[in-house]
Amino acid sequence: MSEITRKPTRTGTAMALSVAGLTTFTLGFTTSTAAVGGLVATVALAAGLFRGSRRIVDAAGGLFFLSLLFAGATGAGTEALLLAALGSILAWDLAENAHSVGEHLGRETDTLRLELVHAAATLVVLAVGAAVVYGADRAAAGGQPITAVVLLLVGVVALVTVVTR
Amino acid sequence: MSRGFDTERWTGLDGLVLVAAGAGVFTREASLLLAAGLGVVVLGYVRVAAIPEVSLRIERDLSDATPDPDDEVEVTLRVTNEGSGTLFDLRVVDGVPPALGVADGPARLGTALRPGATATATYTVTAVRGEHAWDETVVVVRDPSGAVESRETVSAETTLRCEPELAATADLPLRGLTSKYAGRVETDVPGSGLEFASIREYRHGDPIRRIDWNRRARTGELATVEFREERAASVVLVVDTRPEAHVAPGDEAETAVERSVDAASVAFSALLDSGDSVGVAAFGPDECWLAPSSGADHRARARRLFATHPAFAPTPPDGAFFPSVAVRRLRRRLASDAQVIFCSPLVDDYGVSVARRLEAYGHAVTVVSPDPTTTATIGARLARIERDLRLRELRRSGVRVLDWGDEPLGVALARAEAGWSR
Repeated sequence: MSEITRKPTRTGTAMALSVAGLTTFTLGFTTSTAAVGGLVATVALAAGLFRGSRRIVDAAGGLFFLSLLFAGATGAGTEALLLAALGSILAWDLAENAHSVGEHLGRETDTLRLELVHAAATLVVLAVGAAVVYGADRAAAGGQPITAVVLLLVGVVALVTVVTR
Repeated sequence: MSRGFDTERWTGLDGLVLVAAGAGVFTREASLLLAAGLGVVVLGYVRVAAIPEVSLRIERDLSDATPDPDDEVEVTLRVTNEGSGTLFDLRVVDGVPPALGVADGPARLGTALRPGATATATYTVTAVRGEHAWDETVVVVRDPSGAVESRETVSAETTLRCEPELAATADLPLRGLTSKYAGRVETDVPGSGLEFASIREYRHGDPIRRIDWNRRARTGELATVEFREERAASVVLVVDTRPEAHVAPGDEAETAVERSVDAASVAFSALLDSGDSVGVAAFGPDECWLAPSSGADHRARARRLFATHPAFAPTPPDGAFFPSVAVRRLRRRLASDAQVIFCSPLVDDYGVSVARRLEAYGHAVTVVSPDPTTTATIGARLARIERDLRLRELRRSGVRVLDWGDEPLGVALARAEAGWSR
């Protein structure tokens, strides 16, 4: 009788942890505090995946966000921060997906194709998104007055409310 | 396009986006605003998430649809996407019959499936006696972002039928109650036979072969030698299939019902071979009755019955059961000269009362009791002692009892037979 191991899949765990490692590496180009934060987040992600705990995985996502916030606030480079943000979202997404696939299908099932397609879809969306955002930034390069920044914030709020409604 | 239910996977991202944007404004850092922008893109991606119409065809192939018990059967599950959209995240859990254990490979499948494409999963199940139908297959489909999920069930009818050969591996001795037909059960009725019984005065018409010529030479009187007459019995095998009888010493061990059915099928075959007429009945929620008879047809019918009748299924029944009604019905069906072989683990008092009542009504009862108890815990030991007391009580009331432990039935029988009176 073969039992089902309801733990995050090995494929997803490996992918999520490598992406988390790369993200930490990218955060290393900003400030050392953010890099340490990324490292802690990666360890937390690994713990969440090995324990099979969704809560710890989410906490790791939160740690990544805090590291990004700190790096951004202390004047990190646009490229590095955007890349780290992309990596953080991807790492959390892969880890959460590995958790849900593991819960549904167990570790024994071959889920390589499923998880690769999921990772590719998320990666493409994030890459296109990052390119669009970065392109917009380049196009509107130059010192914006504070009113423009406030308007930008209002725009973001409006976008978020429309998109999540 | 159908919208399934929200997995709430991305809940909280909107808050993080707003926090990042706010921090970006306060610190006047463009990079944080850009990160927030990336978050907005993800939110948009999640927003447009939808699942295409799911239309799946499922086929299941068994390497052998009628295996012998304990054979490994390879099951190939084929899932074809018949819809028009690509299923990016497809998770399939096959509905393996509860009685069959998956021996190798998961009965699950996770993949992405283009329209018209087919994915295959192969797993192995170990066949056990019975007719097993596959349940519905559960299909979980998610959109690529994982924000929306829908669950459906798809069914493909597959049945595995496992009918063990009826093998007469142990000969169950019967008690003295017989029918009027010639057979192999030695009775106390004097007549023709093999074993010497008595000598009586010659009566007109006695066969010459049976006249005691020695006595005639000695005393000059005619006397007739009588032998124990051998007759056939009519036997009904009653299997206890109540939910109470579905007990096993461990998780992986055979339940008492499984062993009872095994014992009954062995006894059935042995008794049929020796010319007795044999019937089968189940004492449980699922009604089952095969009237005593003999012959090849009857054997085939019984084989099918033991293998596939729901009453003898390895999983406990869930219908309502009225034991006193069942006893009355059983008694009505039993011919007055029918013996009863009652297969029951006797883990409750009702089994004992059934055996005693049948014995009281004049059906010579033999109880074959597979022992499901263990000595692992104090409670288990208490249950074992209680069962021993029940067996003792039955023996005291004149019922033959075969206490069947871990050993093969034949061994248990040889040991028990020494203590049985005729």
